[in-house]
Amino acid sequence: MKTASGSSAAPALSPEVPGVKTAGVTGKVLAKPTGHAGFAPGAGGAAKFQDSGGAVIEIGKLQLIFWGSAWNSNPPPSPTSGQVTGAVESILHGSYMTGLAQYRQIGRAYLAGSYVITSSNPPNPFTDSDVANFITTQINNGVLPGHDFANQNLYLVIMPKGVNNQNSGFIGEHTYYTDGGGNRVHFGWITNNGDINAVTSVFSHELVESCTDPEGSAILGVAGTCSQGGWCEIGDVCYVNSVIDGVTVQKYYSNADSGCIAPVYPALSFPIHGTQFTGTIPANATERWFTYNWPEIYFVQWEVVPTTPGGGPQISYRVQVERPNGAYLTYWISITNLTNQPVSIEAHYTILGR
Amino acid sequence: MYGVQFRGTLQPNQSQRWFTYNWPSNNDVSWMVVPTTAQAGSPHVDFDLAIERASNNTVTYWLTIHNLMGDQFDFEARYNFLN
Repeated sequence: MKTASGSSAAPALSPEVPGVKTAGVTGKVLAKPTGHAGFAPGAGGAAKFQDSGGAVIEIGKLQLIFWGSAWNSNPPPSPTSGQVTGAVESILHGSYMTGLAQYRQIGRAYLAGSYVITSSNPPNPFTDSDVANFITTQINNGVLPGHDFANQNLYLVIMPKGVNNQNSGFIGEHTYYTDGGGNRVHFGWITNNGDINAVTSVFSHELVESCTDPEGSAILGVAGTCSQGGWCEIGDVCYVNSVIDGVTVQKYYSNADSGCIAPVYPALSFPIHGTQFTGTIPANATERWFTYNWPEIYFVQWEVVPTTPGGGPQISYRVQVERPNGAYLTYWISITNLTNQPVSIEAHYTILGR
Repeated sequence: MYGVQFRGTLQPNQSQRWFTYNWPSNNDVSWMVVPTTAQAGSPHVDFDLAIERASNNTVTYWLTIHNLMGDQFDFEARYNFLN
């Protein structure tokens, strides 16, 4: 299957479904979906990590970068850039990041781009400044995308095997720099010992820490949480690996679980079907509902059916989607009564999968 | 498991049409467009779907995606096979 973007040939929103706004209210508040959220917090304890209010990356746009000619060598390196990219896609699409919803409702990141850049090689050893300068050069040369309007870009650089940081023993790090336009550029680097499991473990650690604390000012441990220096982040108390969908990841700390987690999806049998709300639409009227806190991981279909018998078409409806935060969606459903009699309705959802 | 067929960006109040082709006609496919830029307060997006029978065995889906806000945002178009 292939996809292309065509010209904007269609008209704007259909004028026959304008929605309804009543004074001070933009919809009808409905119950949160229950029974299928799947991420109920565990027993609480004193929170080890607190929100200091600084920047987070709600929905990361990952720019995955393989730096150096070694990535294109013949014979190819092990792991290859393709193998690492595939493992990263599995981490991003799967359940691993869903535990971050507890931290300011951060959602899963996605792979915005994967780049093998061989026009230069990283020095060995390298510094944070080397990586920052490399990223800046590639942005300025148009190789990498530059500042994102929502500042959700995250540049993570995978080093060739055997290229190490000047700080002995450091195998991965994330930080930021400020570019010429005053924008904070969030980046990190991951070293490579030739073992893909080690690479993905370090990658996952830097990923979740970058999203929850890209500038050392957001989700941080309370005093005494970490024994090491520097920013005390959710990966720094959980140097334990786990395997999700066949890919090695590192656990991270969950306040909700009072421990280290690598979330896995609860066992559910799809499709899951139910009635989210019922109502009555006055004659020839349009009313709008919204229903919120639906995990973005779910693929949800909506169908609105009349429960009042009729002799012809009775209703039409339109579904609109809001992403109020990284982890959840709000569905707005406008329902139009096509008749001159009140019509009762049921709004059915079907969760097709995740 | 659903898939992501494409991602894009829409400017404020912009509508844009995409097409995606060579989908087997014996598969029923459901589509969903999800914003990947977070912003609270109002709906961001909806879409219209049109279908073309491109050959005996394939269909083309045409998705017209509408930005309902006065702000730029990113989105992804997800698909799910129903059979």
